[in-house]
Parts: sequence; C-alpha cells; structure tokens
Amino acid sequence: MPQCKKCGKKGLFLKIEGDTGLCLACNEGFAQEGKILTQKIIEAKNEATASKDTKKLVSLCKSIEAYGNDLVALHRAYNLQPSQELLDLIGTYKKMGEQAEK
Amino acid sequence: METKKVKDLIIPLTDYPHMPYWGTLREAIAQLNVAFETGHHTVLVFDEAYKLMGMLLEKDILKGLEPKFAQHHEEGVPIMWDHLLKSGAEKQLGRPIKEFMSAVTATVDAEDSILKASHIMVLRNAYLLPVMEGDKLIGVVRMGDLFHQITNAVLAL
Repeated sequence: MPQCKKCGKKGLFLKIEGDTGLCLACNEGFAQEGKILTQKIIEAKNEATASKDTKKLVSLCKSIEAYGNDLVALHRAYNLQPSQELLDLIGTYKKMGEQAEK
Repeated sequence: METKKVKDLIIPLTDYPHMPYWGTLREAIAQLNVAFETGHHTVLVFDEAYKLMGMLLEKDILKGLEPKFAQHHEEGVPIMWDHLLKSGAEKQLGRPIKEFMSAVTATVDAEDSILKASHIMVLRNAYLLPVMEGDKLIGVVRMGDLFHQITNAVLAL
C-alpha cells in the first residue's frame, strides 16, 4: 500500500510522487522550501564564479555552504537522500572558501 | 597508444553556470554571456532538490527565440524575420528554461573509453554527457574535448 515517507499517511488510492516517495501535500511543502534554498545557492554560486574580490568570494562560499547545508537538512526532515550534485557543491565551495581565506 | 578514459577529461559540474528550471530564458542568456570567455557554452539546469535535470545549450536558446512557424522552414524565414524576432522574442525571454532545455538522455561511466563517449554523443546528438562513477554523478564530459583527443590520436597514427 502506498505510504508517504514524511507524514506516514497511507492508503490504496494515495498518490505518491515517484521521484520522492512523498504524498502530494508533503511534496509541495518540500518543493516550496527547496526552491527558495536552491535559488539562493545558485545566485551565490554564479556570483562567486564571476567574483574577483577575495573577501566577497569567501563570503559567497560561506553562503553556498550554509544554504547547501540547509537544503541537506530539509532533505533529512523529509526523509530524502540529498543529491550527489548538492553534496559535491557544498564540498567544493567549502574548500574554495578555505583556500581563498588563506 | 593507450585509449584515454572519460575520467581523464571530466569537468566538474561547478565549473558551469547553474540555473533552476524556473529561471527565465533571459537570465540564462545573461549567465551564458558571463561564462562565454571561460568556454562553457551550456547552462546546467537543476530542480528544487539540487538534482541535475537537464542542460540548456546555445542551440536550445536559438531555437527558443525563433518564431514557432519558422521552425517548419528549412531554408530560412520568408518574411520579416527581424520584426518577428523582436516581437516574439520578448515573450519567449520571460518563459522558464524548463520549456527549452535538453533533458539528460544518456550518461557515461568514468571508466568508459573516450571512443564510447564519442559514440554515445553522436548517437544521441548530445554535446555534453554527465559522467557517473557507480551511481554518483561526478561531472560532465564535452564533445570539444573528445574531438581534440580523438582527432589528435587519428592524425598521429
């Protein structure tokens, strides 16, 4: 019987999203919060790529790491596995920030 | 000569401009213009879970800017192309890139040979392929780099 990974709701006719295993309401909640964080990560990432100022770069790297970790936490709250792309992004910008700070 | 593997030509995803699928065509063009000098002519498109959904290539953008009916004319647009481009494009520029992007239709393994990657690209008409290590996405490989390696090897035969 289909069951939502977040709220535990189950039923024969319960619609579950194939990608996430969440019911429509939980999936919508995840998508709304995820969109905000993803937007912030991408804005900071693209700004960091163009930035030539070291101080600004360090600050942007920290923002990417922080927003990225928030998105990982959101995944965990919804019992979802964060994507490899997200984990790599956090790792890359953490290292980049540390190197720029030296 | 030992055949190079895909892993020798991997480019990290972070090198490319990233955009969410709800970003607009106008924003994608701005990103590509910023990235133009780095030689990366593709925007990687992500969903709200930061998972790679697809790629927006220059050809996807040019196709998106064409008036709908022009796509049926193989040898140019018969009338008033400039005017149509101007008036039609304004509307298109505000549309989400999800509508224009190329979906990821194939991947290649990091341990595969560059010839296999080249074959997949030709077969799928893909310029960029995601590279997997097991079930992990570790980067992309692009046609230009494969072309360079393969043609150099062929000429040196």
